[in-house]
Amino acid sequence: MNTMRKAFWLAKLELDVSKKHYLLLLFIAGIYSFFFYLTMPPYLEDNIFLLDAFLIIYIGSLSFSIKPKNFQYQKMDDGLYASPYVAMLNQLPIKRNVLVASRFILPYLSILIGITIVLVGTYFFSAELQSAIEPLPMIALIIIWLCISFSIGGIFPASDPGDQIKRFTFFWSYMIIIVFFVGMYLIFQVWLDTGFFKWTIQLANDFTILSIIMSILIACLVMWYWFNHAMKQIQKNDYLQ
Amino acid sequence: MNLPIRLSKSSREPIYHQIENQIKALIASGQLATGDPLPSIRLLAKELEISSITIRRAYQNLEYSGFIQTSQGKGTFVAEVDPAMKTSMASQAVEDAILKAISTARQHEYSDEGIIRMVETLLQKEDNQ
Amino acid sequence: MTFPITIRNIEKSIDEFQLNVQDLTFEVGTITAVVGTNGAGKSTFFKMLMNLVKPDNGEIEVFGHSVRGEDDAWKQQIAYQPQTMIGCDAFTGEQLRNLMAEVYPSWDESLFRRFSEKLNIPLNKKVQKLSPGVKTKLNLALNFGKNTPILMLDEPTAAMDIPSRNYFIQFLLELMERGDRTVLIASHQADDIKKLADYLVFINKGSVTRLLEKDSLVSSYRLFWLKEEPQVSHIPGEIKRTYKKVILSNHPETTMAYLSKNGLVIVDEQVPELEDIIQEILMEGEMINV
Repeated sequence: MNTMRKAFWLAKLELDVSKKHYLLLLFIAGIYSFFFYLTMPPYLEDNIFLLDAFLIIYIGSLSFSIKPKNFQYQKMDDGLYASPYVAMLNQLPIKRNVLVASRFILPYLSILIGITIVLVGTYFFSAELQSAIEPLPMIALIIIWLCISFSIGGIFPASDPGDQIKRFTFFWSYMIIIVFFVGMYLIFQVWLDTGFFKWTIQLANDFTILSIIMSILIACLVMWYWFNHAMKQIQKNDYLQ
Repeated sequence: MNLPIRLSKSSREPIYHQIENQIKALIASGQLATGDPLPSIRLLAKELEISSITIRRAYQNLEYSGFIQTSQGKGTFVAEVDPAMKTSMASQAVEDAILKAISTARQHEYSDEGIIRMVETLLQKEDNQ
Repeated sequence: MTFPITIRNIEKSIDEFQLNVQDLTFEVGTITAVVGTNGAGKSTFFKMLMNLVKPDNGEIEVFGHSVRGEDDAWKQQIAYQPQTMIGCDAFTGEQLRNLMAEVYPSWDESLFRRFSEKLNIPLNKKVQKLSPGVKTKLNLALNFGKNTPILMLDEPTAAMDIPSRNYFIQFLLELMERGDRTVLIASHQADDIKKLADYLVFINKGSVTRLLEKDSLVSSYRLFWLKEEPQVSHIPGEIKRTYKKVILSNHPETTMAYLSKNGLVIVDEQVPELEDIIQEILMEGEMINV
C-alpha cells in the first residue's frame, strides 16, 4: 500500500496546480447533463445514435479537461510524444509503479465525478429515464458506466509516458477511433436495434448483480493492461528532451 | 585567505613541484608561521585554476617532508619547522632565483663575465639607495 | 570498492547519430567536466547515465547497481540537472521543493534555503514566469538541496549572471570539501572548467574520450617561440604554427629534442591556455595522448 500512498501524494501535488480545471469539469458536466436530459426521451424511443456518441466523447473529454497544458501529451522531440511532467518525474527517484499509478488517480477522479454527476443529474430530472429504470438498477448502471469510462479513459494516463510517433501513427489512431464508432453503430443500432446506453439499461435491469460483477472484472483487466503498457513504455522510450 | 603563489607557465618544473617549493619558501621566509592555516585543497585548486589532484599531491609531499600537517576535520596547518631547515630552504630559494636569472642572461647571450659585472653593478646600486 | 559511476562499452544510435563510450569510471570526490561542441552528445550522454535514454549495448552502474535493473533506488544517489527544465511550468519553487524533499531521503533544507536566499530566487512564483537565468538558479537550489553523493549538471551556468555564477562555484566547492561527492558538469564556460574540474572528458561527434587529468592534459602541450622560422613545414610533435615562429606541440620532449638537434633556438616557451587546448581538441579533432 506504500505504492498507493506515494502515488496519492504525487496526485495531490498535481491537484494543487490544477484546481481551477475542476471548475471547468463541473461546467462541462452541467452542459452534458442538460443535453442528456433533453435527448433522453427521444433516445429511449428511437435509439438516437448521437447520445451514445456524445457519451463516449464526454468520457474522453473528462480525462483531458483537468490537465494543465504542461501535463498533457505533446510533442517532445522528433519522435516522441509524451507528457513533459512525466518525463520530469522520471528523472527523480520515484519508483516506476508509483509514477505510473499516480497518473491514473486524477483522470479517474474526474471520471468518477463527471459520470456520477451526469448520470445522477439526468436521472433526477428525466422522468422518462426514471420510468425506464428503478433506483437500484440505476446504481448498477452508474457502476457499469464508471467501468466503461475507466477502461476507455485509461488510455490517457497510459500514454503519458509517451510513444514513438512514426509517420502513420496518428492516421491509425484516427482510424481506430472511427472504427470504434462505426462498430458501435453497427452492433447496437443495426444488429441489436437498440442504443449502447439503452442496452446497458437493459443489462442493469435484467442482470443487476451479474452486470456489476462483470463490468468490474472487465474494467480491472483493461486497467491492468493500461498500467503495464505505461510501465513498458517508460523502460523503452528515449527521453531526449 | 590567498597564498601569494604564482605559477610559472614557462617553467618546465611540474606544477605540483612549483607549489611545493613556493609554500616551502613562504614558510622559510617566515611569511607563513607555525600553526598558520593553509587554504583547503579545493579552494587553492580554484584560485590557481588547476586540478585538486595536483594540489593534493603537493600537500601530501609537504606533509611527508614535515612542512605542514593536516588534522581531520580542521584543515591543514603549517608545522613546526627546524630553523636549520628554514635557513637551508632560504638559501635554496635564493639559489633558484639566481639560477633563473643566469638562464635568462644566457638566453640573451651574456658571457659569464658580463653576468658577474651586471650583478656587481646592481649590488652597488642597491647599496647606494 | 564500488565507484559512483562505472560505464562499460556503451553504444547508442539515434537516427544518424552515434554515441560510443568505452570504459569510464568516475571516482569519489572528483569533479569531471564534460566538454564538447553543441550537438556532440553531452546531454545524451548524461541522459544515458540517468536511464532516460536507453543504450543499445553496454552497462552503466551507479554505486554498483545497474541503471537498467528493475530497482530504481540508485536514482536517490543522483541529482540530475538537465539543460532545460521540463514539465515544471505549472509549479512554484516551493511546490517543487516539496516534491524533491519528499522523494529524496537525503534532502537538506539548509542547503536549499541558503542557496535560494543568497540568489534571491522567488520561490512563490510559478516556474513559467521565471526568466531562463532564474530558472537555472532555482534548479540548482533544488539540486543542491537533494544533497546526493552524485551531482550531474548539464550546462548549469549558461544563463546565469557573473555574481551568481561565482557564488555557484563557491557553493559547489564548499560541498566538495567533505570529499564524498562526485560531480559531472557539462559546460561551455572555460572559467567553470578551470576553477572546478579535476578531470576532463571530451565528447567529439559522439565518441567519448577517457578521463583526462586537467593538469596532465595541459602540460602535455607546449608552445615554443623560435628565434628563426624553421625551414621544414612540420616539426615532430607540431600541431599548429602561428606567426611562422610559434610552434604548438603535443609532444614537447620530441619537439625540443628535434629543435636542439637542428640548432633551432627557443626564445621563450610556455604551457598553452586550457582554452587553446580545448579548441585544438574539439575543432581540429586533435589526438589526445596524455
